[in-house]
Amino acid sequence: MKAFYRLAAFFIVVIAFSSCEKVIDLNLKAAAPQLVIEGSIINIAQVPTVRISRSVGFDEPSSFPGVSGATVRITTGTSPILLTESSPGVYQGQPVVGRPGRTYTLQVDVDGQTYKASSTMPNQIFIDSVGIEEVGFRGKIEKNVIVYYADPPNEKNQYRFIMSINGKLITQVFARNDEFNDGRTVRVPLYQDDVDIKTGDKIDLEMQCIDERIYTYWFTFSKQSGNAMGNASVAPTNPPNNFDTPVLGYFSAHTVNRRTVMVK
Amino acid sequence: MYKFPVFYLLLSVLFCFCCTSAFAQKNYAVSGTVKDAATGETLIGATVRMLEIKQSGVATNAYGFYSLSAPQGSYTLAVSFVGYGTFTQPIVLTANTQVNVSLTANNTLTEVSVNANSGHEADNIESAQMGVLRLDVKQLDNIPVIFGEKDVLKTIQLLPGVKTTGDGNTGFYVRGGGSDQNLILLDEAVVYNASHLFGFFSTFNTDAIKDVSMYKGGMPAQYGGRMSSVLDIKMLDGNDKNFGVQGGIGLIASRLKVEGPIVKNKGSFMVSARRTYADMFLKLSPDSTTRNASLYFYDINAKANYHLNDKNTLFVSGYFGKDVLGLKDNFETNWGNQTGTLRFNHVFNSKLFLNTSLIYSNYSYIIESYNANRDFKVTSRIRDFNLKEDLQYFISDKHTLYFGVNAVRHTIAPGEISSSGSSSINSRAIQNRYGLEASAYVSDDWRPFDRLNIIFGTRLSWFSLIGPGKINTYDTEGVVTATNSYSSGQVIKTYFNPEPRVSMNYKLTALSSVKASYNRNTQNIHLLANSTASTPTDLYVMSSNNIKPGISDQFSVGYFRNQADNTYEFSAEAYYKHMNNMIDYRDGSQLVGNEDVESQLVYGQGRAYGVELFVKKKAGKLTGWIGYTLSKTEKRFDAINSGQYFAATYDRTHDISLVGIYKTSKRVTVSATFVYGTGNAVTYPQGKYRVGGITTFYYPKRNADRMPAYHRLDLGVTLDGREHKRFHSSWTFGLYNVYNRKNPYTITFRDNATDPSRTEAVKTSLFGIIPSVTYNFKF
Repeated sequence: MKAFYRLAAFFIVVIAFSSCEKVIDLNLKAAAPQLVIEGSIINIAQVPTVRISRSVGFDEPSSFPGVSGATVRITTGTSPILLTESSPGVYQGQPVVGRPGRTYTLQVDVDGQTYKASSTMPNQIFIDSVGIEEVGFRGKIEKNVIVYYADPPNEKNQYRFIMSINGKLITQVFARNDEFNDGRTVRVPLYQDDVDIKTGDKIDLEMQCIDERIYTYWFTFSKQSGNAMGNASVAPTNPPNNFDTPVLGYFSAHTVNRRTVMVK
Repeated sequence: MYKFPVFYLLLSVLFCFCCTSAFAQKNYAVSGTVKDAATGETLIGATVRMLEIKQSGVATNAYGFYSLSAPQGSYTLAVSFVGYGTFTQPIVLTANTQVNVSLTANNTLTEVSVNANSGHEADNIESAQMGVLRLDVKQLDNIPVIFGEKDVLKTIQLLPGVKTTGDGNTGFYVRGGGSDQNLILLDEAVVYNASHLFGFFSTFNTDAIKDVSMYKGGMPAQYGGRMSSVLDIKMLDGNDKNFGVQGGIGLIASRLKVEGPIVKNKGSFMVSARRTYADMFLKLSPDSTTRNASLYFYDINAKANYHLNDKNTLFVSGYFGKDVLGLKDNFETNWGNQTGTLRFNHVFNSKLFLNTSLIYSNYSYIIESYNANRDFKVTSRIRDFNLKEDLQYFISDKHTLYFGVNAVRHTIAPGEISSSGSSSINSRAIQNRYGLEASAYVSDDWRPFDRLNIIFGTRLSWFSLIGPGKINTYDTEGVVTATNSYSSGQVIKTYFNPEPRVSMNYKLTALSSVKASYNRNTQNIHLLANSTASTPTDLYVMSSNNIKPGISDQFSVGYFRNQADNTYEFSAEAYYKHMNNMIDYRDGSQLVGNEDVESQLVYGQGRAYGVELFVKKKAGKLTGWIGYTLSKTEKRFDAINSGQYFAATYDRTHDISLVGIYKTSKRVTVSATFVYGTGNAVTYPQGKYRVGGITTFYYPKRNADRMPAYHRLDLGVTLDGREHKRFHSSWTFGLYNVYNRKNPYTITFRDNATDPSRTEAVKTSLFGIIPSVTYNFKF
């Protein structure tokens, strides 16, 4: 479906041969800084990290101050683990290995307000293989990364893909579910326009298996401008997350499977 | 179950009027059809009156038929229509008489391009019908539009109260209603998607069109099914005296029309076709991807009619159109409307006219991907079968009664995905949905005394969602609370809505009047648009156990004034509209192929109000109009924007249009169009933050900001060829967006490429300055 929208957007531009893009000054209003909580638990041994920060105005430089003095707890089994602040806004604790099927809860107390979120880690699905596709598009040969995996039948699965090229994080958000390809071998092209992939590039891929609420979060996130790649989307909103009190950010328990490829 | 009250209502209304007329002096009726003397085309909205009776006057109906009652005596019958010489004939009324009239076109009159009441010199003062815009199709030649293609919809958007959201979009918004709230009819068949190529062209080929009427308010009871407006387009019948060919060759598209008699003076046909060849230019591209692309649309309008005798006429008309967009061996998508109408007119006597219509309408779109291991084909369709009976009973000089019934069977196939076994996409069929819509209406056009005219009536509408199907019921969170299976024809849910309609006109002087109206309209077919631009993949759903019918209530008042010799017209209309059961999406919903799309919907209300000012100059070397609308449209949903009112995307605070047409000499006409509109309401970020290493934006309120304003100037010159006996030609030169303003199409936000710690706003515009040339011919 995405390919259709990409090509449709291309056609609209082709018809309108005199169209153009221009950076403009909008003079946007600045809302009060909003709290952002980001945390995750994965299925390999890792120091659990929760980042708490605040939003800044659109015209300010993109450095986001951390929020200190928060109380952060993650419940993995029965008793909660307290995380301590290792650097401004970054709270960490003892290494934890998450397990599929378990539900994890994050509780953050900041400025007298409590924010709670729960996430259940899904089963692990592995990347089958990674390929590079070459497409002739508008006179150039473009290389795209393709990920293959086998979706298990008769269960609801949601995925997120994170890609870095030569160490640079790609800002395109890839979220997929198995609505149309349950039980099939799935081929996911990771179209992006951050980096022109060339021979010799190093691609770091991470495939996450995420729960339904986190899928809705990343899916909505991917429709926001800057990520939409020509797909005129419905009115943007803050992606709905799994916190019980309105706050920005998410808490996700997911499996990871990492693969590195060199482009030939 | 509901037939009983309807029957009583109709009967009591008829009884009242029969009684009234029984007590009057013996009246007789003169009736007949008004046609163009040269082509035999029936004239819609021509004025027929008796010069001796001051308050007399009827307009010919959609088939050119009129009926006028008067007491026994001698009179002068006068028939007039803009662009034609007035016809007069002395008649003696001693019995019901038939007088068929042929009017001769009067080409020396300089005419106005758009009339709010084409055909009636002072109809804006006389008639109780308010909120209506009539387009004089012949004058569309002189209004410059994009790519030089005459376009009915683009011209309608130059009138107050009808708004657009900018370039690349033919969806239009009338008095705060959404783009799916317009009932678009082509010879009585509903056209679901009135745009070609993502909105750059409309599906209406001007060569084939005779009459265009748009009702913004005060909808007559004959129309129903949509909440905001009715755009009633009637095709030409075809010249029943001589063969003719007409066409045009332009930069982007060409068109051809052939018409002629089947049997001279008894029957005629008309076929008109149009195709773009934008993809021919793509074949010249050096890039192989572009070379293999196909991008075109075509449409065909065809009509035939035959007069069996003076009292019976048969019409057949059809429309077939298709858009194709594709990349060879990769994918292809096509979509289009097909409509077919069979109509039969029967005149019972000089007072009772009947039209029976059998209508078929189909809109479908197909997306097909041939990609090796991702092949799939998605097919979606909405199909209607419709039977209509419309009657007009010209009871007396004070009353004209309109009544009728209508039944429609809808089938919606929301999306069927088929794929081969090796594809990585699963096949899936989403269940079809079936609905039955029935309505009955009765309405009286009443003139109790000279100064007052009231049109009042009601439309009763029923909608039933019927099986077969497996139906889910959802709660407000979108969770299934019940699932039931229904067999074929079994009723799942029925809605009944009475829709009262009243409008009145009080003449203050011979040149001015005030009007007021109230109408209720309901809607059972809803369009779920999955983006802010209209795309062919928008989903149609019917009212159901989860979705209630949309209801709108509109009040409007207006003051109308003409200057002494009706050269200038002025009107000021104000309206207030309240809408219930509006539909929108829950945040984060995915739409294509979503079997449970009804679980993704949330419901709310809307309100719209505004003032429309309009001044028009109708005669002289310079003609044209200025329209200004000041308005506000807001929506409110519990589940969106914390239940606060927010501006609709298409809310346009100020909307100005100026059209000027100047005939510099016998063969040269110059025209200019200027439009200005407040930018669309948009949700801008009010902060940014970082998650997952990616900068993203904070949106506190929906639609609290505005895009930059939209404005544009277009110029056009028409050069008529030298007068030959049977051959006419003309050249039209146009310049779209003369001062090259880059109006915003979308605004997106991204990190600055050279300094990632800064974010910037990027405006994308579609059209800069575009010249066009078209050659038109007719013989």
